[in-house]
Amino acid sequence: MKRELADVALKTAKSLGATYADIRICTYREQSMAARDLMLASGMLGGFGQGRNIDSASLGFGIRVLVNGAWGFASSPHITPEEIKRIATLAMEVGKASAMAREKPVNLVPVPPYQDHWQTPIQKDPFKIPRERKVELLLEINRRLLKHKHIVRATSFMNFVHESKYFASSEGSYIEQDIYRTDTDYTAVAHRNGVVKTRTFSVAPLNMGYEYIEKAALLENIDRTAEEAVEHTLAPPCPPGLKDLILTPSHTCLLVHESLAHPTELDRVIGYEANYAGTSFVTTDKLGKLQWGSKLFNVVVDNTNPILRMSSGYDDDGVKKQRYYLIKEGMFIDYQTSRETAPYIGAKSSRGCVYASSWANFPILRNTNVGIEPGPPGSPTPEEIIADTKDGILIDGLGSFSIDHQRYNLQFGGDAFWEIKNGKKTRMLKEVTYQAINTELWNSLDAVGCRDSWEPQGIPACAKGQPIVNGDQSHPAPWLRLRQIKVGVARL
Amino acid sequence: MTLSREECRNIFDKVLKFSQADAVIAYLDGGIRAGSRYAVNAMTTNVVEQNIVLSVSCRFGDRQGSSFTNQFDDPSLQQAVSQAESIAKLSPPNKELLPLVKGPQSYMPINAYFEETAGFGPQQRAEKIRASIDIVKKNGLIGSGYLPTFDWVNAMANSEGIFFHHRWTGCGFLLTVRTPDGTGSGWARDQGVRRAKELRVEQRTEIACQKCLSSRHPQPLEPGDYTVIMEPEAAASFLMLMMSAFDGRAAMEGRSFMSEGKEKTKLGKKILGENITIGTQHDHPQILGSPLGLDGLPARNISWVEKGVIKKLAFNRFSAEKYQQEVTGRPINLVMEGEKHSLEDLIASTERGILITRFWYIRTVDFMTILNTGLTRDGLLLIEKGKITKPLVNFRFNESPAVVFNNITMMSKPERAMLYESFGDFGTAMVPAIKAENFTLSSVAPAV
Repeated sequence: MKRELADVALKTAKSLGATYADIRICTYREQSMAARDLMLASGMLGGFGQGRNIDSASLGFGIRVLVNGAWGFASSPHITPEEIKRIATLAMEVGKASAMAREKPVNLVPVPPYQDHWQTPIQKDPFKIPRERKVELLLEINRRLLKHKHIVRATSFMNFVHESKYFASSEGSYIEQDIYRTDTDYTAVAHRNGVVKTRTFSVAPLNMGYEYIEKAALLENIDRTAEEAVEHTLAPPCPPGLKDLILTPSHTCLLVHESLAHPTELDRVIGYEANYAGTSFVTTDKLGKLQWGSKLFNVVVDNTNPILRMSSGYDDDGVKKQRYYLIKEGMFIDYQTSRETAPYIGAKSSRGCVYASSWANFPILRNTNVGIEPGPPGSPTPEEIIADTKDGILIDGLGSFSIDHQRYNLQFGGDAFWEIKNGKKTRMLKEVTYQAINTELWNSLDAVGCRDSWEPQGIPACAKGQPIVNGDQSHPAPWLRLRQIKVGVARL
Repeated sequence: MTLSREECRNIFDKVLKFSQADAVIAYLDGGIRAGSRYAVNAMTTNVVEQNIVLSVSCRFGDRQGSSFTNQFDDPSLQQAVSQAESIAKLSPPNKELLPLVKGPQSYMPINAYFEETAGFGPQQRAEKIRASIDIVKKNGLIGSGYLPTFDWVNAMANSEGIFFHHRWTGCGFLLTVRTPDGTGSGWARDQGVRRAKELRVEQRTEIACQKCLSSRHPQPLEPGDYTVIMEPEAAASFLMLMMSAFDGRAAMEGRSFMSEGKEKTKLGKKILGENITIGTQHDHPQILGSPLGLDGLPARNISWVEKGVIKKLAFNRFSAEKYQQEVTGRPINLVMEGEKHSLEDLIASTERGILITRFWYIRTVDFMTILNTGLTRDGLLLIEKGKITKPLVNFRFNESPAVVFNNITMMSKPERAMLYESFGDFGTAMVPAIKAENFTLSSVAPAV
């Protein structure tokens, strides 16, 4: 049925003069539950910080065409042959108008045609698990957090997505994909002596089934999370100066996202994002020449490990997902690319990084599962990294983050911080932020943790493009240590 | 696609009929978003996106559940209702739910829909993009821009007789212009425009080009505290940050800059400069306001700050009742009073200072002091003896709007600006350019 519908789009576009056409017919199902202080409610009705308690379904299709060397796109929620024909015609009208403002035609690198079905290998379909079991777990987390003295607010959430996508192109591909995403975490808010601090138990968002929730040790970490929130309210502020930073994977994921994943998107480098997300300092003349990290530093894109957020069989250009290095032993060697951008570096094929978060959106180059490889056998454990640090700060979790539009100057905070003195964790600190220039930061890397310290953490949402296309990436990393980084600059 | 008043009413009637719940609220939100985007002087993306989402919330006593769908045939509506009902039945009681607002309510009139904008099609957008590219090329520069249009519907109904329907149009244009050698960058925008014929594509392109040309080969300056002049778009960012501290409940619970101990707040106190007056005006002719507040009540115009005194904090129905305050809705559609000066007057009055075009990637570092960090972008210029003398390398700032709004010495007339980095047409405000003393620029950011 979907193939026949897809063929209506492709045939219509070709008959009107398209040199290329594709269609994505999609269904997204999402279940989202968020509890706050033993309540679940709908945040959209009455607002002001209430939790979510929602099931949603979104169906529709988007048609992309190349005509006269320019892109056209249109989308609709009504999946009927008549509407598909109408939207294909509209996409062609849009594409022909685009050509008025484009001299050089879009040039796509080739891709083989595929006919395939790919699915996230889940064990337990989260949509078949009774809702009451999930709700009870979220409320139990709230209950146990609120039992702690000085905890004034508790939040917990779960989110499940099933993205069902049928892609067909005029080049002969017919690809069906079922992608499942699971996400959960919780936060305690402590209020003591007029000081308010939060602590979040970060569970890596992954593409797995409900079995992931069952293994996530949610209840086991409640007391520690609440106690650390309270301890944070009593912590002294971080003194300004130069410190060695020890970063856990739940912190590093966002640093990777902002400082490595975004600047290696080739569309940014070319200038496609100049008007919003920005360009990149990693211009093409730096390929194979820039020392971007110490010799210990290996940055890999892995869109083939099925549990990672941007993994699937194929991207929204119909290109097979891949695993490859961006940085090898500190040397910058590759970009994240699409069929449209690959020619700009002379590549003969795409790295398969195109994605649209909705059927309604035009697919664009999104950064994917960019991560840092663990060190070789014999690399230090987290305990060994701490023991080897004389004067440092251990940073865990996500906090304030900001980076410039070419990705040079960054300032990050975190969720929790500990002073490290003479190889020991001594006490918590508050108000820790660090500032650095991107390449200087990664060139100061002097310890990369062992494989056991590696975690596939990620970020839940990232906006790019005009109109916005959301992304949802994993950025795995081991424990790391960076030498002599400036801390404590952010203060009034 | 869009939905007329009657079509919305039909959908709502069916939802209410299908539901067995004690109370039902339904919203419709969506329409057509079209957008033409160019980069490197060529159209890269051109779209027509159509979608409308129905959200249904059902209540049994004080238990509520919700569902979303974008399919409006009877089985899909029945499914959405039944899903919301079953979620509600499985939910714990929510003591913060208040009885539904009873209808009918009266809403302020806002003239929001213009056929010329709804009908501004791909051909017309492409012609405007072409005109912008031609100006950029004439200046020997590289441009990237975006022109979105909206033909949108917001509708609401509940089982207590409320029915609301609002169709509106909007459009905008923003662009970034860079030099081929990558040493200069300029930016301008014109957003939150109701009528396509009022969209200033060519004029904004000229401004961005001039800004770009004047920012070539920037020189570094030592970090420190400086007198700054923020153009309205930059000042709007600090207005948004200031208003983020106005959540009344957080203030009452001791979790905010506005807190002064348990259930004590800065309400009624003069904590900002004498020259600061800020209000919400949903029906301001240059703001894309809606007659319906985000809290589901009719939108009300509110005065938040008068001559530096906090006159209102933001309370929803629940928190207003709990803390015996007025229900205000959120601080959106803001109008900040200015003075009679022009931006040029502000520059001419400055012995030594820095002109800031706009900010980027602003994030809160500390909620209690509203300490924020972010960066300057697309045009940072040194002012000496009342004149712009040279372009500067960008900076990262660490500063609080509560400090800035005590250090403003001069303002221009307010202009339309956006409160957010986003390029959508939501979040317009009337904001003056401001001159502020002792603004903390904490490190050099070499991005151009």
